[in-house]
Amino acid sequence: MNYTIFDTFIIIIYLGLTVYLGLRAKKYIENSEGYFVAGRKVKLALGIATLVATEIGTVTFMYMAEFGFTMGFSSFFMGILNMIGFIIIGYTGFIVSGLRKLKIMTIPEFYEIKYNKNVRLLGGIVLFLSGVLNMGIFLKFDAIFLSETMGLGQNVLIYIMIIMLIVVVSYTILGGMLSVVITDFMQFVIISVGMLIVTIIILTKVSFLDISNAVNMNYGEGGINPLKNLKMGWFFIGWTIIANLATGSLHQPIAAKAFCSESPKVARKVFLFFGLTLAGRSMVPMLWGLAALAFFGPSVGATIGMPRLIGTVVPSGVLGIVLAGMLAASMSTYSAYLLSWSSVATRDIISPIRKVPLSEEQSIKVAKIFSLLIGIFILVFGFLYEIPATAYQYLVLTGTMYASGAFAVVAGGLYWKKANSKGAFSALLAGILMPMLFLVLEKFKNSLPEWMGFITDINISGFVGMILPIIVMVIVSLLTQKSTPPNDITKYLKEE
Amino acid sequence: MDLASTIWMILFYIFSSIFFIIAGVVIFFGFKDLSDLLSKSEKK
Repeated sequence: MNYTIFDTFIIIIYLGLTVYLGLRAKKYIENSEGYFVAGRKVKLALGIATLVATEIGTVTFMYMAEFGFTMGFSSFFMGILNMIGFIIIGYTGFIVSGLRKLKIMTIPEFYEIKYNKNVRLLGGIVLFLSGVLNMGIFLKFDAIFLSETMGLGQNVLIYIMIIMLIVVVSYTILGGMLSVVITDFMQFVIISVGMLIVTIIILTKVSFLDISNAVNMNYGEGGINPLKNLKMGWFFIGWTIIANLATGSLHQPIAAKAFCSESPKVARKVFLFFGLTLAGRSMVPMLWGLAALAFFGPSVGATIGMPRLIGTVVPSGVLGIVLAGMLAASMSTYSAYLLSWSSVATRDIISPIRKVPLSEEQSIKVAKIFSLLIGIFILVFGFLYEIPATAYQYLVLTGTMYASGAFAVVAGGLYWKKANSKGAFSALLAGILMPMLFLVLEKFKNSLPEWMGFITDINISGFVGMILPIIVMVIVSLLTQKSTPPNDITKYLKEE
Repeated sequence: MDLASTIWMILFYIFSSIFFIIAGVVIFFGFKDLSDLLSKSEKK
């Protein structure tokens, strides 16, 4: 391992600078719009930087590399599918433009405008639980990454992770979205530089020919053709396409960036350019995973292969910058996610159940408390929970839990006049059914009857989970048109 | 190297280049956006 005290020095300087800049944002915050959506003043370049930084964490590098290691070149296909989803959203403004025009701060706020308070409350609870569950494994992967690159034991790591969480939670709590935007931009610069350096170093140590030979030897045709890969196939592709459209437009930490944009037009452009970066930003860590397969062989393990490769081939000094970049990536993700889920808990769960609405000051205070509680939860959950299948599939599945119902409810609400509150309520419940069944039944899959086997296939479960709420939304809405007439929201959707 | 691997390699270079080029442009213009945002934000 090449890690030295010099690398630790670089990381400490970086962490100090991040805290300083994040805390400086506090002096700019005056009201809840400033706290939750940075006053809706974010322009294009800054919007792209913060969205990319939010959606790249150490966990992203880890699961993408793991995916590359286990799927071969076929994994690149997933990067292309991700790109297509976001380009469609960016080009058409699908969902994000409509939501930005409504000037909301969280997705469930839309549910109350189009449907009613109960739909908002249910949507808020589902979104909050699935979001926090989704975030629950981030720390575990950060811990594995750091232990492999630094060559430290697991005992030390828990302390490092606690320090990292304290740093992020404190600047998120104090500075809100503005501190997230400022630190995201700084982190974007470091992540981009770090990714470029690591890719160049790895490609000087492991050639594409080495990688090609390793893929052919270990995975045969499945490593090159995604349709012949047993862990992918048509259900995976169908699930990925719909899930990308849904999570791309409705995942709160992503959608929050659209809400921060200075106009609906800028929001669309942010998504379009972000989409254009997606294939590359997926393929780069996948290549690192593939290189680890070629360098060490399959016995090293899919999860620890990539960080061990970085710890082995990247020289000291550069390793410190790379690790600072990885920590930057993680912190920008944590801060954006903490702010998103605490906003949802405050505005869509606590506020609707209170008789007297929260004041601006109270809502910021409650959000800060939730940020702290979520931080403690992910620390405990991350070290206790064993992840089924691959990390990528776990993340998409927990995303599906919320996004599938939300996709039917929001797309239906914006683009289908007959969408009503009963259809929306039923669709949200249907959305959590398949992912919950999978997460529970997967633990008992050996004792299940054969006909129920499809539920424990993560790709089928994910695909059905995306389709089911759409069907439920349409059927229930059509059956209840007379008893529950749909609300007309066209007056709210005029261009700014 | 076989044809399929070569195609994936070319796709990797194309898409990773797009990522790094956009990143470079975003970093260049992002500093100006950030200073605009801070100057527009209300101070306590």
